[in-house]
Amino acid sequence: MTIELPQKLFEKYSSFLGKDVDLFINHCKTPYKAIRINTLKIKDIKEIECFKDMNYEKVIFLDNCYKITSNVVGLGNCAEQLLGFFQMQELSSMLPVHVLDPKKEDIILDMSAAPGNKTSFISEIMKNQGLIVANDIDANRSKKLIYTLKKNGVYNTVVTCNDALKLNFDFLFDKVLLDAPCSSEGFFLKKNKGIHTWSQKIVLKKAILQKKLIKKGFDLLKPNGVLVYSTCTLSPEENEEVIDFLLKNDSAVVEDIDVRLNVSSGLTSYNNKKYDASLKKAIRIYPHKTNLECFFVCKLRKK
Amino acid sequence: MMFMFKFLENKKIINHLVSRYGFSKEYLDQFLFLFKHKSVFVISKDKEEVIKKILNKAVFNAGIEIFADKKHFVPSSLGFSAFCAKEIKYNFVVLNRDLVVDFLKGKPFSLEQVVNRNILSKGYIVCIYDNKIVGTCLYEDQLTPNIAFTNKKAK
Repeated sequence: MTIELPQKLFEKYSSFLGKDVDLFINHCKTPYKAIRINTLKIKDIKEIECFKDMNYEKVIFLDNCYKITSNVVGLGNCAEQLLGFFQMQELSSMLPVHVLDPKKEDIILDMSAAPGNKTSFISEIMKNQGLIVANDIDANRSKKLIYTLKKNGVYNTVVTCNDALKLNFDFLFDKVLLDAPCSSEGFFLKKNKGIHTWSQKIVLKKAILQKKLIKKGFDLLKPNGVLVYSTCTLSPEENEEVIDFLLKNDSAVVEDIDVRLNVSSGLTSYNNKKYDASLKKAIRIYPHKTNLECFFVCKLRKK
Repeated sequence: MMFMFKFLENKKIINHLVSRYGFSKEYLDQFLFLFKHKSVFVISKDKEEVIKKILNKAVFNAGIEIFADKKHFVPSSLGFSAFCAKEIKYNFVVLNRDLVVDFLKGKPFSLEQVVNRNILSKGYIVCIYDNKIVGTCLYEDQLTPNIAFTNKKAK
């Protein structure tokens, strides 16, 4: 099925994808489901009964993640999923956690945490040690976050329900994950649903919020701490421009991201604007090059 | 109504976990015990000082809820599944996968249906499948799943 983009979005994508834009559009709907084994409960996918008759392949760039290549309906109702033995999650959305590189001894802030898939992935890597503060502004989404953490057996996390811009602690964090609220272009493109609601006005409104959030997240970081910024959108206003804003106003440096994927570099110019040259170290995930959903990830360190 | 999380005088809770289910005190020592209203929570002890600082403020959740009612020791099924099954020495039943599906649907089952069991007395019993805790049930005349959210489509 062909996805029809709003004209302005098509023009925007064409400006940085060039002749690949049609290829890009045709690859937006990934033909598989992806899962992550919850290593707090399970060590190997072979332990999970419901996968015994399914075809799957191991993902090389992320530990314990698999593409389910069988045509499966109702995977979410499998007993093992309901018990938290595995989590259904888009592969590109797991990358920010991989880039964050959590350690057992870390104190980590997840600024916009609901529904909790990334938080539980962080906890898994930390083996339920250290401490995560998982925040979400919305009370109902926070309840969903708590359910996800409980189902996955996560007990190293405190959940707060605040406007992230008003977060205030008596200590600083080793690492901050800001998976920012965005215009969700990647989500709409994958679902082939709702993309007609996209507008440049929404993009610019989100970008204003994202700049405030990244500034706040950076203020809560220890010196030499790491902040990972991500969105499931490709508009440069919500990505490179947000990072460029931080680089101009704070002592942040962009760091290289090591991932075994055919990712594209962050943009250093767009629409007659020049961004900091180090933004080429950020990564853009394009479906036609990676067979994953659209994503943007940038790793920053506090000098 | 918002209730604050507070540190719990944990002797009574630990004694219950040890006497009812056979947990070792060494295993339980890795957790901090907290309470909020009627519920008991455990959280990793690693960052105790930082946790104390956070709990001075209003937080939505801390760690994982293990008892929904601390007075009557009503366990929280999902919370109990965070514990290691090897720690459970008694008051447990072992389920096969079909029974796990029924458990998730909220269907009661009988003692004759379980694969294995070690039950000392009636009351809340731990359910184990594939060497993992999947929840708890209430054992009276039959075993009734103790789960807040059933899923009729579980398979």
